Amino acid sequence: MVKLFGKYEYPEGLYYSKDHLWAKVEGENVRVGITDFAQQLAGRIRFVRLRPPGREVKRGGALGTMETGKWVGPLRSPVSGVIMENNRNLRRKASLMNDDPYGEGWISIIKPSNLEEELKDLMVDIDDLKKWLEKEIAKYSKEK
Amino acid sequence: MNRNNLLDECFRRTSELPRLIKEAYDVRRKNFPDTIFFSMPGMIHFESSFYNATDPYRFPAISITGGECSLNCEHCKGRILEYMFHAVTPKRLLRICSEIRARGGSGCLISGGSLKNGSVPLTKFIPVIKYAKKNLGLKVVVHTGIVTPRLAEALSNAGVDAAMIDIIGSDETLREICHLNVGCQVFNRSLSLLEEYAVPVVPHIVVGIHRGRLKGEKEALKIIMQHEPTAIVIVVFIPMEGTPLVNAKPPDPLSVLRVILAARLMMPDKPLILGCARPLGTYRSRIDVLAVKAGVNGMAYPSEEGYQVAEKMKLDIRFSDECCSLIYKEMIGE
Repeated sequence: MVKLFGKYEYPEGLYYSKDHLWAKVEGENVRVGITDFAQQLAGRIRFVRLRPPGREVKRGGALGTMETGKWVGPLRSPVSGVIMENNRNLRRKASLMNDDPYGEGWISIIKPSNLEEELKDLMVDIDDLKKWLEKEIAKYSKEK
Repeated sequence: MNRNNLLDECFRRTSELPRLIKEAYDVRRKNFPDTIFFSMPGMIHFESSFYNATDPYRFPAISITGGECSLNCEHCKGRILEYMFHAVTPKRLLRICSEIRARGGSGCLISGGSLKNGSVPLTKFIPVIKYAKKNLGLKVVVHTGIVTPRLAEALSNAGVDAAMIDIIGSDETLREICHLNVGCQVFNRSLSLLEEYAVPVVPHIVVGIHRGRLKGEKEALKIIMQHEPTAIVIVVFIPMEGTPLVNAKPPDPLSVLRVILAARLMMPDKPLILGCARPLGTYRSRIDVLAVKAGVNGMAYPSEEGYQVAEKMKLDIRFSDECCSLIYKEMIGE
C-alpha cells in the first residue's frame, strides 16, 4: 500500500481507471471498487444502487450509481464484461466503500470480455498514477 | 370545503390521499403551464442519465460564518456548512464571487451559521452582495434566519434575488431543536418585514425537523399563508452523522406528501418546489414521484424516478444550474 500526497492510499498491484475505480484480476474474473481518493472526494456514501448480476457492462459504462451529500453520479466500470456478483453488504451499509474501499467495500465482480486490451488503458504503475492524480487533485480542489 | 377544513383534511390520517393528489394536480394545471423546473445548483457533483452538472462554481453555497453556528441546531450541528465555500470576510466573499463570474457561474447562495438570536450576520456583507449583483451580474440568494428591519432594508437595497427562511411552526421545536427561546410568530414578523421592503421571499418548511416527526408543519403553512411568498420550498429532515439525531428516522414519505398537498391546495397560485435537502436513495426516489404527482412546479436534484414520472406525465422539463428558489424568475420569463 502506498500513500500518495500523504493522504490517498493506493495498493500496489491493482489497475486503476481514470474514473477512479480499481480493478483486481482474480482468475477469470475482475473485482472492482472505488479508490481511496474517490471515496474521500465524495464524502460519506449513503446509498449505492447497482445493476443486477447477469447484465453486460461496457468499459466506462455505469455499474450503478452512488449518492453522497455532495456527489450523485454513476460508478463507471473499468472493464467491459458481464456482472457476475455484487457486494450485497453495500445495500445495508454503503459506507463500507468509505471505511474499506479496497476490501469490504468492493463493488462488483465482472467476467471480462476484452480484458487484455482494456488493461492496457488502466494505470498500474504508481509513478504514472501519481502524476495523473496530481492533476485530478487540482481539478477537484476548491477554495474553502 | 373551507380553507381550514381543507388544511386539516390534508393532515388527517384517514383522508383519501389519491383523491387529494388528484385535486392538487388539478389545481396545478389550472394555475400553471405544464412545465416543471429541475434545478442542479453548485456544490453537489450531479451526473444522471438526463443531466450533468459538475462545476462547483456554477451556483455555489457560501457560508459567511465558515463552519461556525451559534445555534447548533440538533438536526444539523453546523454540518451543512461543511459542504459550502467559506467566506468569513467581505474581501473573501468578493474573491469567491469574482471567481464564480470568471468561471461562468451565474450566482450564489449566501448562507451561514446563525447567531444566538437566530439571525445570519449578513449586514457587513451587504456592500459585496450589491457589488456582485450590479458589477458582476450575479444572481444572489440569501439565507436570512430571523429578519430585523435593518436587514430587510439592506437586502432590499442590495437587490437580492430571493431571501430564504426556514419557517418553524412549533415553539417546542424552536426551543428543543433550534435552541431558540422565541415563539414561532417571529417568522410572521420576518416575512412581513421582507414583504414590506419588497424582497422576494421564499419560505422553506423542513418536514420532520422535530426528530423526524410532523409537529409544527401545519402551523408553518398557516404562517406562510398569511403572506405573499414568491415561492414555497419543502425540504425534508435528513438524519445526519455527527448530530444527536443521526438515529432518528426521517418522516415517512406519506407525511411529506401531506405537507406538499396542503401547500399546493392552500396556496394554489404560488410556485411550489421540492428543495435540495431530503434523504437519498430509494427514499428520495419515492418522495420525488409523489411530489411530481402532487403538483410541484420544481425540484432540486431530481432522482431518475422523479425525472421519469415527469416525462411520463408529459410535463415540459426545464433544467437549470441555479438555486431552486429562483424558478419563479424562469416562470415569469426573467
